[in-house]
Amino acid sequence: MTDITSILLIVKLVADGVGVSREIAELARRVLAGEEITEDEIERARQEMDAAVERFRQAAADRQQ
Amino acid sequence: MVDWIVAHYVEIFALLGAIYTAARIIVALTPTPKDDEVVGALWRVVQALAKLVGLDPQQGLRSGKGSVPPPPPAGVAAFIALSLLLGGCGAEWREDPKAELLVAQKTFTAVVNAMTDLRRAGKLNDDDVKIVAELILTAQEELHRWQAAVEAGQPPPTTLEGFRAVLARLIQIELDKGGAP
Repeated sequence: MTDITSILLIVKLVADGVGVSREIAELARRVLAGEEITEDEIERARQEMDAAVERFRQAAADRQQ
Repeated sequence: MVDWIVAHYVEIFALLGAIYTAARIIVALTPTPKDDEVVGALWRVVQALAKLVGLDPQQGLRSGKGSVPPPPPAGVAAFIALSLLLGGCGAEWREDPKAELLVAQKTFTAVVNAMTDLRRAGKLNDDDVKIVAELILTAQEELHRWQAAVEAGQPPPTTLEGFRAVLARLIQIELDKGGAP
């Protein structure tokens, strides 16, 4: 039997997956409509990416202490 | 058919994710072997979709008797979206290097967030973390170089295949650890 923590983790992973798929689909629609992606958007995405990597490093370090 | 899948893949994943999550919860509450068979059949559909874009979600999975297969988590959905859009079904994306890069950044961010969730849930041990951290660092550096090239109006310094290979390895780990009881 699966414990409740595992179920909550699965629900979160699936929700995140659907969320990012929707974001990418919206991007596709914008590009197909001829809209240009700006460098500001790319820079914001880079900052979010770097912040995500930093959160992973912190989570990794927390468990090793 | 492929065009229809590309046009509706978000809805397909939303539906699969909702059905699978509900099924997992029912299986957890009712220890009946029949439940596992139904969920297993649904998982095979997800596998077939993943293999269409060159990912084998079964590789490296624990498959003990009576175990329930893992769900289509963040990395799989994002990776399939990336592959469908960049891997031959979306030629328009190749004409916009900024859009290509942005999709890759968002996909990678989703995978890293999933890894953080798995670590916090105790699903990644210290040995796993060393491997994952190295893969994450490789992909992050590659994306930084890619961004610098795009901003300078140059082609990506490394191949897209290399980046996808690193993502695929991370997602194999996500599938393995996310599905483990």
